Amino acid sequence: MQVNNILSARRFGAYFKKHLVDNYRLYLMSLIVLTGLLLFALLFAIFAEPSIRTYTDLIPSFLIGLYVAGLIFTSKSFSELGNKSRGIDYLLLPASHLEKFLTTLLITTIGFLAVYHVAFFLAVKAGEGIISLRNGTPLINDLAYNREADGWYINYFIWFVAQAMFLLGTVYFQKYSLVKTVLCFFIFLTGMYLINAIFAQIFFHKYMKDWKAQFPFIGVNILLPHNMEAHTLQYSMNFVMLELPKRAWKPLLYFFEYFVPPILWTVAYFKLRDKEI
Amino acid sequence: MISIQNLSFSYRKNKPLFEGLDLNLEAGYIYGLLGKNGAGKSSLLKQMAGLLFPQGGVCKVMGYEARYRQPDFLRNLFMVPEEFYLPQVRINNYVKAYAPFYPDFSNTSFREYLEEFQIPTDQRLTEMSYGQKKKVLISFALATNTKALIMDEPTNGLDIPSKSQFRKVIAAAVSEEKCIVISTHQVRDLDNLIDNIVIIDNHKIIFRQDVDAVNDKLSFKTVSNVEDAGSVLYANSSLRGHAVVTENTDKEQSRIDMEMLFNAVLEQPERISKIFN
Repeated sequence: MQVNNILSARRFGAYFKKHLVDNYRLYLMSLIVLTGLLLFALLFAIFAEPSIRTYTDLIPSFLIGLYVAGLIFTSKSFSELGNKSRGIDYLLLPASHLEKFLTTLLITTIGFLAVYHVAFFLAVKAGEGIISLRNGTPLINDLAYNREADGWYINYFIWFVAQAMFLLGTVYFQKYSLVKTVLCFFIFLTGMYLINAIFAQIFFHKYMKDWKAQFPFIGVNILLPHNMEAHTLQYSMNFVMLELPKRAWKPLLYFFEYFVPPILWTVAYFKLRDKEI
Repeated sequence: MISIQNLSFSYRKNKPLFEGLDLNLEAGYIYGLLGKNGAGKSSLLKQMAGLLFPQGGVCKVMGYEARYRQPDFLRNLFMVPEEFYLPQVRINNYVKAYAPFYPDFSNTSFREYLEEFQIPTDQRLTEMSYGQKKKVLISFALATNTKALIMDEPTNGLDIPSKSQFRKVIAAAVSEEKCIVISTHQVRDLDNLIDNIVIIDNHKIIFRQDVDAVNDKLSFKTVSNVEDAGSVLYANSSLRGHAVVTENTDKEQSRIDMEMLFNAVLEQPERISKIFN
Protein backbone atom coordinates (compact mmCIF):
# COMPACT_ATOMS: atom_id res chain seq x y z
CA MET A 1 0.00 0.00 0.00
CA GLN A 2 1.35 3.41 -0.97
CA VAL A 3 1.83 5.51 2.15
CA ASN A 4 1.54 9.28 2.10
CA ASN A 5 4.93 10.34 3.36
CA ILE A 6 4.14 14.06 3.66
CA LEU A 7 0.85 14.41 5.53
CA SER A 8 -1.63 11.76 6.55
CA ALA A 9 -4.65 12.76 8.64
CA ARG A 10 -4.58 9.50 10.59
CA ARG A 11 -0.89 9.67 11.40
CA PHE A 12 -1.10 13.36 12.20
CA GLY A 13 -3.99 12.64 14.59
CA ALA A 14 -2.01 9.83 16.24
CA TYR A 15 1.06 12.05 16.59
CA PHE A 16 -0.95 14.97 17.96
CA LYS A 17 -2.58 12.66 20.48
CA LYS A 18 0.80 11.23 21.48
CA HIS A 19 2.15 14.75 21.96
CA LEU A 20 -0.77 15.69 24.20
CA VAL A 21 -0.54 12.47 26.21
CA ASP A 22 3.21 13.01 26.67
CA ASN A 23 2.79 16.64 27.71
CA TYR A 24 -0.66 17.05 29.28
CA ARG A 25 0.74 17.19 32.82
CA LEU A 26 3.18 19.91 31.82
CA TYR A 27 0.48 21.89 30.02
CA LEU A 28 -1.98 21.64 32.91
CA MET A 29 0.68 22.71 35.37
CA SER A 30 1.67 25.57 33.06
CA LEU A 31 -1.97 26.75 32.92
CA ILE A 32 -2.17 26.78 36.72
CA VAL A 33 1.20 28.52 37.14
CA LEU A 34 0.39 31.04 34.41
CA THR A 35 -2.98 31.89 35.96
CA GLY A 36 -1.34 32.26 39.37
CA LEU A 37 1.43 34.49 38.04
CA LEU A 38 -1.02 36.64 36.08
CA LEU A 39 -3.25 36.99 39.14
CA PHE A 40 -0.26 37.97 41.25
CA ALA A 41 0.93 40.47 38.62
CA LEU A 42 -2.55 41.98 38.20
CA LEU A 43 -3.10 42.39 41.94
CA PHE A 44 0.34 43.92 42.30
CA ALA A 45 -0.35 46.35 39.42
CA ILE A 46 -3.77 47.30 40.73
CA PHE A 47 -2.68 47.85 44.34
CA ALA A 48 0.51 49.66 43.30
CA GLU A 49 -1.34 51.88 40.82
CA PRO A 50 -4.74 52.97 42.20
CA SER A 51 -5.61 54.69 38.91
CA ILE A 52 -6.26 51.25 37.36
CA ARG A 53 -10.06 51.10 37.34
CA THR A 54 -11.03 49.73 33.93
CA TYR A 55 -10.33 46.72 31.76
CA THR A 56 -8.54 48.96 29.27
CA ASP A 57 -5.99 49.76 31.97
CA LEU A 58 -5.14 46.04 32.09
CA ILE A 59 -4.20 45.84 28.43
CA PRO A 60 -0.45 46.55 29.03
CA SER A 61 -0.34 43.68 31.57
CA PHE A 62 -2.20 41.46 29.10
CA LEU A 63 0.29 42.21 26.32
CA ILE A 64 3.38 41.83 28.51
CA GLY A 65 2.10 38.43 29.67
CA LEU A 66 1.21 37.42 26.13
CA TYR A 67 4.69 38.17 24.82
CA VAL A 68 6.73 36.95 27.78
CA ALA A 69 4.81 33.69 28.36
CA GLY A 70 4.24 33.02 24.66
CA LEU A 71 7.82 33.49 23.62
CA ILE A 72 9.25 31.50 26.54
CA PHE A 73 6.78 28.70 25.77
CA THR A 74 7.67 28.76 22.06
CA SER A 75 11.38 28.74 22.81
CA LYS A 76 10.88 25.49 24.75
CA SER A 77 9.50 23.67 21.71
CA PHE A 78 11.81 21.27 19.90
CA SER A 79 13.78 21.03 23.15
CA GLU A 80 14.11 17.32 22.27
CA LEU A 81 16.64 18.27 19.63
CA GLY A 82 19.00 19.64 22.27
CA ASN A 83 19.23 16.21 23.88
CA LYS A 84 20.79 13.32 21.97
CA SER A 85 18.61 10.49 23.25
CA ARG A 86 15.35 12.47 23.11
CA GLY A 87 16.30 13.82 19.71
CA ILE A 88 16.77 10.30 18.32
CA ASP A 89 13.40 9.25 19.76
CA TYR A 90 11.76 12.33 18.23
CA LEU A 91 13.32 12.11 14.78
CA LEU A 92 12.85 8.36 14.40
CA LEU A 93 9.20 8.23 15.40
CA PRO A 94 7.35 7.24 12.23
CA ALA A 95 5.56 10.51 11.50
CA SER A 96 6.55 12.97 8.81
CA HIS A 97 8.53 16.11 9.56
CA LEU A 98 5.50 18.14 8.50
CA GLU A 99 3.24 16.34 10.97
CA LYS A 100 5.73 16.87 13.78
CA PHE A 101 6.22 20.51 12.83
CA LEU A 102 2.49 21.25 12.47
CA THR A 103 1.83 19.73 15.89
CA THR A 104 4.36 22.05 17.50
CA LEU A 105 3.12 25.02 15.48
CA LEU A 106 -0.52 24.45 16.48
CA ILE A 107 0.38 23.95 20.13
CA THR A 108 2.54 27.08 20.30
CA THR A 109 0.10 29.34 18.40
CA ILE A 110 -3.56 28.37 18.66
CA GLY A 111 -3.00 26.17 21.71
CA PHE A 112 -1.02 28.79 23.59
CA LEU A 113 -3.32 31.69 22.66
CA ALA A 114 -6.39 29.74 23.81
CA VAL A 115 -4.75 28.76 27.09
CA TYR A 116 -3.37 32.25 27.69
CA HIS A 117 -6.74 33.91 27.16
CA VAL A 118 -8.38 31.42 29.53
CA ALA A 119 -5.62 32.00 32.11
CA PHE A 120 -5.89 35.80 31.82
CA PHE A 121 -9.68 35.66 32.05
CA LEU A 122 -9.47 33.49 35.18
CA ALA A 123 -6.82 35.77 36.69
CA VAL A 124 -8.89 38.91 35.99
CA LYS A 125 -12.05 37.35 37.44
CA ALA A 126 -10.22 36.17 40.54
CA GLY A 127 -8.45 39.53 40.86
CA GLU A 128 -11.74 41.39 40.47
CA GLY A 129 -13.28 39.31 43.21
CA ILE A 130 -10.43 40.13 45.58
CA ILE A 131 -10.53 43.86 44.70
CA SER A 132 -14.31 44.20 45.07
CA LEU A 133 -14.09 42.44 48.44
CA ARG A 134 -11.45 44.96 49.50
CA ASN A 135 -12.73 48.14 47.84
CA GLY A 136 -16.34 47.30 47.15
CA THR A 137 -15.99 48.48 43.54
CA PRO A 138 -15.22 46.07 40.70
CA LEU A 139 -13.20 46.99 37.58
CA ILE A 140 -15.26 48.62 34.84
CA ASN A 141 -15.56 46.68 31.60
CA ASP A 142 -15.04 49.42 29.03
CA LEU A 143 -13.58 47.26 26.28
CA ALA A 144 -16.69 47.42 24.10
CA TYR A 145 -16.61 51.19 23.63
CA ASN A 146 -13.20 52.38 24.81
CA ARG A 147 -11.01 50.36 22.52
CA GLU A 148 -9.12 51.63 19.49
CA ALA A 149 -10.00 48.94 16.98
CA ASP A 150 -7.19 49.77 14.55
CA GLY A 151 -4.44 49.71 17.15
CA TRP A 152 -5.55 46.54 18.89
CA TYR A 153 -5.17 43.79 16.33
CA ILE A 154 -1.62 44.78 15.33
CA ASN A 155 -0.36 43.39 18.66
CA TYR A 156 -1.45 39.93 17.59
CA PHE A 157 0.30 40.28 14.24
CA ILE A 158 3.50 41.35 15.98
CA TRP A 159 3.09 38.44 18.39
CA PHE A 160 2.84 35.99 15.46
CA VAL A 161 5.99 37.45 13.91
CA ALA A 162 7.85 37.14 17.23
CA GLN A 163 6.49 33.61 17.75
CA ALA A 164 7.66 32.55 14.27
CA MET A 165 11.07 34.05 14.96
CA PHE A 166 11.43 32.19 18.26
CA LEU A 167 10.19 28.95 16.71
CA LEU A 168 12.87 29.25 14.05
CA GLY A 169 15.38 29.99 16.82
CA THR A 170 14.49 26.78 18.67
CA VAL A 171 15.15 24.69 15.57
CA TYR A 172 18.40 26.51 14.79
CA PHE A 173 19.87 26.60 18.27
CA GLN A 174 19.92 23.36 20.19
CA LYS A 175 20.76 24.98 23.52
CA TYR A 176 19.92 28.37 25.08
CA SER A 177 17.69 29.11 22.11
CA LEU A 178 15.82 31.91 23.92
CA VAL A 179 18.96 33.93 24.66
CA LYS A 180 20.52 33.22 21.28
CA THR A 181 17.35 34.18 19.40
CA VAL A 182 17.05 37.46 21.31
CA LEU A 183 20.72 38.16 20.58
CA CYS A 184 20.26 37.39 16.87
CA PHE A 185 17.18 39.61 16.78
CA PHE A 186 19.12 42.55 18.18
CA ILE A 187 22.03 41.92 15.81
CA PHE A 188 19.52 41.83 12.93
CA LEU A 189 17.88 45.08 14.10
CA THR A 190 21.25 46.78 14.51
CA GLY A 191 22.31 45.58 11.07
CA MET A 192 19.14 46.95 9.50
CA TYR A 193 19.59 50.25 11.30
CA LEU A 194 23.18 50.57 10.08
CA ILE A 195 22.34 49.61 6.48
CA ASN A 196 19.52 52.16 6.54
CA ALA A 197 21.98 54.71 7.93
CA ILE A 198 24.32 54.11 4.99
CA PHE A 199 21.52 54.58 2.43
CA ALA A 200 20.19 57.62 4.30
CA GLN A 201 23.67 59.13 4.18
CA ILE A 202 23.98 58.38 0.46
CA PHE A 203 20.65 60.03 -0.38
CA PHE A 204 20.25 62.74 2.27
CA HIS A 205 23.75 63.37 3.60
CA LYS A 206 23.76 67.17 3.24
CA TYR A 207 20.25 67.51 4.70
CA MET A 208 20.80 65.35 7.80
CA LYS A 209 22.01 66.69 11.15
CA ASP A 210 23.87 63.41 11.80
CA TRP A 211 23.78 59.77 10.68
CA LYS A 212 21.40 58.73 13.50
CA ALA A 213 18.55 60.94 12.22
CA GLN A 214 16.75 58.04 10.49
CA PHE A 215 14.88 54.85 11.29
CA PRO A 216 14.33 51.88 8.97
CA PHE A 217 10.85 51.70 7.38
CA ILE A 218 9.79 54.92 9.17
CA GLY A 219 11.69 57.81 7.60
CA VAL A 220 14.57 60.29 7.70
CA ASN A 221 14.79 63.51 9.69
CA ILE A 222 16.00 66.18 7.26
CA LEU A 223 16.68 69.87 7.23
CA LEU A 224 14.50 71.61 4.69
CA PRO A 225 16.68 72.98 1.85
CA HIS A 226 15.22 76.52 1.82
CA ASN A 227 16.00 76.96 5.53
CA MET A 228 19.56 75.82 5.45
CA GLU A 229 21.06 79.29 5.28
CA ALA A 230 19.40 80.45 8.47
CA HIS A 231 19.73 77.39 10.58
CA THR A 232 22.30 78.48 13.11
CA LEU A 233 20.05 80.01 15.75
CA GLN A 234 16.95 77.82 15.64
CA TYR A 235 18.51 74.72 14.29
CA SER A 236 15.99 72.08 15.34
CA MET A 237 12.99 74.08 14.31
CA ASN A 238 13.83 73.62 10.64
CA PHE A 239 13.87 69.82 10.64
CA VAL A 240 11.04 67.73 9.24
CA MET A 241 10.44 64.02 9.24
CA LEU A 242 10.48 62.70 5.72
CA GLU A 243 8.22 59.70 6.21
CA LEU A 244 7.86 56.67 4.04
CA PRO A 245 4.82 57.33 1.82
CA LYS A 246 1.66 55.40 2.57
CA ARG A 247 1.78 53.56 -0.76
CA ALA A 248 5.17 52.17 0.33
CA TRP A 249 4.56 51.29 3.97
CA LYS A 250 1.10 49.82 3.44
CA PRO A 251 2.41 46.91 1.32
CA LEU A 252 5.36 46.58 3.72
CA LEU A 253 3.02 46.35 6.68
CA TYR A 254 0.84 43.87 4.79
CA PHE A 255 3.94 41.79 4.04
CA PHE A 256 5.03 41.98 7.69
CA GLU A 257 1.61 40.95 9.00
CA TYR A 258 0.68 38.19 6.57
CA PHE A 259 3.89 36.90 5.00
CA VAL A 260 6.70 37.13 7.55
CA PRO A 261 5.30 34.48 9.99
CA PRO A 262 4.58 31.87 7.26
CA ILE A 263 8.01 32.50 5.71
CA LEU A 264 9.75 32.00 9.07
CA TRP A 265 7.65 28.87 9.80
CA THR A 266 8.58 27.46 6.40
CA VAL A 267 12.28 28.07 7.01
CA ALA A 268 11.91 26.42 10.45
CA TYR A 269 10.21 23.39 8.85
CA PHE A 270 13.01 22.95 6.31
CA LYS A 271 15.59 23.34 9.04
CA LEU A 272 13.83 20.61 11.07
CA ARG A 273 13.81 18.35 8.00
CA ASP A 274 17.58 18.76 7.70
CA LYS A 275 18.29 18.16 11.37
CA GLU A 276 21.08 15.69 12.16
CA ILE A 277 21.90 14.20 15.53
CA MET B 1 17.97 -4.30 2.39
CA ILE B 2 20.68 -1.82 3.43
CA SER B 3 22.84 -0.45 0.66
CA ILE B 4 25.61 2.02 1.31
CA GLN B 5 27.55 3.20 -1.70
CA ASN B 6 30.68 5.33 -1.76
CA LEU B 7 29.77 6.93 1.57
CA SER B 8 31.85 9.87 2.72
CA PHE B 9 31.26 11.59 6.02
CA SER B 10 33.22 13.67 8.48
CA TYR B 11 32.38 15.62 11.61
CA ARG B 12 35.26 18.02 10.94
CA LYS B 13 36.91 19.21 7.78
CA ASN B 14 40.06 17.29 6.81
CA LYS B 15 39.26 14.54 9.34
CA PRO B 16 37.15 12.02 7.45
CA LEU B 17 35.31 9.31 9.34
CA PHE B 18 34.23 7.43 6.21
CA GLU B 19 35.73 7.70 2.76
CA GLY B 20 34.23 5.81 -0.15
CA LEU B 21 32.64 3.25 2.16
CA ASP B 22 30.57 0.52 0.50
CA LEU B 23 28.40 -1.95 2.37
CA ASN B 24 25.44 -4.15 1.46
CA LEU B 25 23.46 -5.94 4.13
CA GLU B 26 20.71 -8.38 3.29
CA ALA B 27 17.54 -9.53 4.98
CA GLY B 28 17.53 -12.78 6.94
CA TYR B 29 20.81 -12.19 8.74
CA ILE B 30 22.15 -10.84 12.00
CA TYR B 31 25.14 -8.63 11.35
CA GLY B 32 27.69 -7.83 14.00
CA LEU B 33 29.33 -4.48 13.38
CA LEU B 34 32.65 -4.45 15.19
CA GLY B 35 35.29 -1.77 15.51
CA LYS B 36 37.57 0.01 17.89
CA ASN B 37 36.36 3.01 19.89
CA GLY B 38 35.90 5.95 17.56
CA ALA B 39 35.99 3.78 14.43
CA GLY B 40 32.57 5.08 13.45
CA LYS B 41 30.21 2.22 14.37
CA SER B 42 27.57 4.49 15.90
CA SER B 43 27.93 7.01 13.09
CA LEU B 44 27.43 4.29 10.52
CA LEU B 45 24.27 3.10 12.30
CA LYS B 46 23.05 6.72 12.42
CA GLN B 47 23.61 6.96 8.68
CA MET B 48 21.43 3.87 8.25
CA ALA B 49 18.71 5.40 10.43
CA GLY B 50 18.86 8.78 8.70
CA LEU B 51 20.08 10.62 11.77
CA LEU B 52 23.26 11.67 9.96
CA PHE B 53 23.44 12.54 6.27
CA PRO B 54 26.10 11.38 3.84
CA GLN B 55 28.38 14.16 2.59
CA GLY B 56 29.11 11.98 -0.42
CA GLY B 57 27.55 8.79 -1.73
CA VAL B 58 24.21 7.37 -0.75
CA CYS B 59 22.68 5.30 2.04
CA LYS B 60 19.51 3.42 1.13
CA VAL B 61 17.45 1.20 3.38
CA MET B 62 14.62 -0.85 1.84
CA GLY B 63 14.95 1.38 -1.23
CA TYR B 64 14.47 4.60 0.75
CA GLU B 65 17.18 7.19 1.10
CA ALA B 66 17.61 7.16 4.86
CA ARG B 67 18.35 10.89 5.12
CA TYR B 68 14.75 11.82 4.23
CA ARG B 69 13.33 9.88 7.23
CA GLN B 70 10.05 9.25 5.45
CA PRO B 71 7.32 7.69 7.63
CA ASP B 72 7.12 4.60 5.41
CA PHE B 73 10.84 4.08 5.98
CA LEU B 74 10.68 4.83 9.71
CA ARG B 75 7.81 2.43 10.40
CA ASN B 76 9.97 -0.35 9.00
CA LEU B 77 13.09 0.53 10.94
CA PHE B 78 13.74 0.58 14.66
CA MET B 79 16.92 1.77 16.27
CA VAL B 80 17.98 0.98 19.82
CA PRO B 81 20.57 3.70 20.45
CA GLU B 82 23.32 3.46 23.04
CA GLU B 83 21.86 6.47 24.85
CA PHE B 84 18.12 6.02 24.70
CA TYR B 85 15.07 7.89 25.92
CA LEU B 86 11.92 6.48 27.48
CA PRO B 87 9.14 8.82 28.66
CA GLN B 88 8.11 8.86 32.32
CA VAL B 89 5.07 6.63 31.92
CA ARG B 90 3.97 3.09 32.65
CA ILE B 91 4.83 0.41 30.12
CA ASN B 92 1.18 0.15 29.01
CA ASN B 93 1.03 3.87 28.28
CA TYR B 94 4.31 3.71 26.41
CA VAL B 95 2.87 1.00 24.20
CA LYS B 96 -0.37 2.98 23.69
CA ALA B 97 1.60 6.04 22.59
CA TYR B 98 4.22 4.41 20.36
CA ALA B 99 2.70 1.18 19.01
CA PRO B 100 0.15 2.86 16.65
CA PHE B 101 3.06 4.07 14.54
CA TYR B 102 4.27 0.53 13.87
CA PRO B 103 1.66 -1.40 11.86
CA ASP B 104 3.22 -4.82 12.56
CA PHE B 105 3.58 -4.31 16.29
CA SER B 106 2.61 -7.42 18.29
CA ASN B 107 1.48 -6.88 21.85
CA THR B 108 1.64 -10.62 22.52
CA SER B 109 5.26 -10.78 21.43
CA PHE B 110 6.05 -7.70 23.52
CA ARG B 111 4.63 -9.38 26.65
CA GLU B 112 6.59 -12.53 25.87
CA TYR B 113 9.84 -10.64 25.49
CA LEU B 114 9.21 -8.78 28.76
CA GLU B 115 8.53 -12.08 30.44
CA GLU B 116 11.73 -13.50 29.02
CA PHE B 117 13.62 -10.51 30.45
CA GLN B 118 11.67 -10.78 33.74
CA ILE B 119 10.34 -7.23 33.58
CA PRO B 120 7.17 -6.50 35.61
CA THR B 121 4.65 -4.89 33.25
CA ASP B 122 2.89 -2.69 35.80
CA GLN B 123 6.03 -0.79 36.78
CA ARG B 124 6.68 2.81 35.85
CA LEU B 125 9.61 3.27 33.50
CA THR B 126 11.07 5.90 35.84
CA GLU B 127 11.23 3.36 38.66
CA MET B 128 13.34 0.99 36.59
CA SER B 129 17.10 0.60 36.48
CA TYR B 130 19.03 1.45 33.33
CA GLY B 131 19.34 -2.23 32.44
CA GLN B 132 15.61 -2.85 32.92
CA LYS B 133 14.73 0.14 30.75
CA LYS B 134 17.05 -1.12 28.07
CA LYS B 135 15.33 -4.50 28.16
CA VAL B 136 11.94 -2.79 27.78
CA LEU B 137 13.22 -0.90 24.76
CA ILE B 138 14.75 -4.03 23.22
CA SER B 139 11.46 -5.90 23.80
CA PHE B 140 9.51 -3.09 22.16
CA ALA B 141 11.98 -2.92 19.28
CA LEU B 142 11.60 -6.64 18.60
CA ALA B 143 7.80 -6.51 18.96
CA THR B 144 7.51 -3.77 16.31
CA ASN B 145 8.54 -6.42 13.75
CA THR B 146 10.27 -3.82 11.63
CA LYS B 147 12.22 -5.11 8.65
CA ALA B 148 15.39 -3.37 9.79
CA LEU B 149 16.47 -3.43 13.41
CA ILE B 150 19.65 -1.64 14.35
CA MET B 151 21.13 -1.75 17.81
CA ASP B 152 24.02 0.29 19.11
CA GLU B 153 25.84 -1.39 21.99
CA PRO B 154 22.65 -3.17 23.14
CA THR B 155 24.42 -5.24 25.78
CA ASN B 156 25.91 -2.22 27.58
CA GLY B 157 24.33 -2.03 31.02
CA LEU B 158 22.92 -5.57 30.90
CA ASP B 159 23.96 -8.02 33.59
CA ILE B 160 25.38 -11.45 32.71
CA PRO B 161 22.04 -13.38 32.76
CA SER B 162 20.44 -10.60 30.69
CA LYS B 163 23.14 -10.88 28.06
CA SER B 164 22.30 -14.52 27.45
CA GLN B 165 18.57 -13.66 27.50
CA PHE B 166 19.36 -11.00 24.92
CA ARG B 167 21.13 -13.51 22.67
CA LYS B 168 18.19 -15.87 23.03
CA VAL B 169 15.48 -13.34 22.08
CA ILE B 170 17.48 -11.93 19.16
CA ALA B 171 18.18 -15.39 17.78
CA ALA B 172 14.46 -16.19 18.02
CA ALA B 173 13.42 -12.93 16.39
CA VAL B 174 15.40 -13.16 13.17
CA SER B 175 13.40 -14.08 10.09
CA GLU B 176 13.74 -14.20 6.31
CA GLU B 177 12.61 -10.62 5.82
CA LYS B 178 14.38 -9.08 8.79
CA CYS B 179 17.86 -7.54 8.87
CA ILE B 180 19.37 -7.06 12.31
CA VAL B 181 22.54 -5.01 12.74
CA ILE B 182 24.23 -4.98 16.12
CA SER B 183 27.21 -2.82 16.86
CA THR B 184 29.38 -3.50 19.85
CA HIS B 185 32.87 -3.22 21.16
CA GLN B 186 32.14 -6.05 23.60
CA VAL B 187 32.63 -8.65 20.91
CA ARG B 188 32.19 -11.65 23.22
CA ASP B 189 28.57 -10.62 23.81
CA LEU B 190 27.81 -11.58 20.22
CA ASP B 191 29.34 -15.04 20.38
CA ASN B 192 27.05 -17.62 18.78
CA LEU B 193 24.55 -14.92 17.82
CA ILE B 194 25.62 -13.19 14.66
CA ASP B 195 25.89 -14.89 11.32
CA ASN B 196 27.78 -12.11 9.55
CA ILE B 197 30.75 -10.15 10.79
CA VAL B 198 31.53 -6.63 9.63
CA ILE B 199 34.65 -4.93 10.93
CA ILE B 200 35.19 -1.24 10.42
CA ASP B 201 38.57 0.41 10.76
CA ASN B 202 40.44 3.35 9.29
CA HIS B 203 37.38 4.87 7.53
CA LYS B 204 36.53 1.65 5.70
CA ILE B 205 34.97 -1.78 6.02
CA ILE B 206 38.03 -3.99 6.27
CA PHE B 207 36.25 -7.31 6.86
CA ARG B 208 32.81 -8.60 5.92
CA GLN B 209 32.29 -12.33 6.00
CA ASP B 210 29.64 -14.77 7.11
CA VAL B 211 30.32 -17.13 9.96
CA ASP B 212 30.49 -20.19 7.67
CA ALA B 213 33.25 -18.59 5.61
CA VAL B 214 35.17 -17.69 8.76
CA ASN B 215 34.83 -21.28 10.03
CA ASP B 216 35.93 -22.55 6.68
CA LYS B 217 39.00 -20.36 6.33
CA LEU B 218 40.19 -19.84 9.89
CA SER B 219 40.85 -22.07 12.84
CA PHE B 220 40.56 -21.05 16.48
CA LYS B 221 42.37 -23.22 18.98
CA THR B 222 44.45 -23.26 22.13
CA VAL B 223 47.96 -24.67 21.90
CA SER B 224 50.73 -25.12 24.42
CA ASN B 225 53.39 -23.92 22.00
CA VAL B 226 52.76 -21.15 19.47
CA GLU B 227 55.44 -22.47 17.11
CA ASP B 228 53.58 -25.78 16.78
CA ALA B 229 50.42 -24.06 15.60
CA GLY B 230 51.74 -23.31 12.12
CA SER B 231 50.87 -20.09 10.34
CA VAL B 232 49.57 -18.01 13.26
CA LEU B 233 47.60 -14.88 12.43
CA TYR B 234 47.08 -13.84 16.02
CA ALA B 235 47.99 -15.30 19.38
CA ASN B 236 46.94 -14.50 22.89
CA SER B 237 48.68 -16.10 25.82
CA SER B 238 46.97 -17.13 29.02
CA LEU B 239 47.45 -19.61 31.90
CA ARG B 240 45.71 -22.28 29.84
CA GLY B 241 48.19 -21.91 26.98
CA HIS B 242 48.13 -19.88 23.79
CA ALA B 243 44.89 -19.11 22.06
CA VAL B 244 45.68 -18.76 18.36
CA VAL B 245 43.99 -17.96 15.09
CA THR B 246 45.47 -19.76 12.14
CA GLU B 247 44.58 -20.39 8.55
CA ASN B 248 42.32 -23.45 8.41
CA THR B 249 44.34 -25.49 5.96
CA ASP B 250 43.20 -28.84 7.41
CA LYS B 251 39.46 -27.96 7.27
CA GLU B 252 39.09 -28.40 11.02
CA GLN B 253 35.87 -27.39 12.73
CA SER B 254 36.37 -24.86 15.51
CA ARG B 255 34.29 -22.39 17.50
CA ILE B 256 34.76 -18.79 16.42
CA ASP B 257 36.21 -16.58 19.11
CA MET B 258 34.96 -13.12 18.14
CA GLU B 259 37.59 -11.30 20.15
CA MET B 260 40.40 -13.31 18.59
CA LEU B 261 38.98 -12.83 15.12
CA PHE B 262 38.60 -9.09 15.67
CA ASN B 263 42.18 -8.74 16.87
CA ALA B 264 43.50 -10.89 14.04
CA VAL B 265 41.71 -8.76 11.44
CA LEU B 266 43.02 -5.55 12.96
CA GLU B 267 46.59 -6.85 13.26
CA GLN B 268 46.86 -8.72 9.97
CA PRO B 269 44.37 -7.12 7.58
CA GLU B 270 46.37 -7.94 4.46
CA ARG B 271 46.95 -11.59 5.33
CA ILE B 272 43.31 -12.03 6.31
CA SER B 273 42.19 -10.36 3.11
CA LYS B 274 44.42 -12.71 1.09
CA ILE B 275 42.96 -15.76 2.85
CA PHE B 276 39.38 -14.74 2.13
CA ASN B 277 39.88 -13.62 -1.47
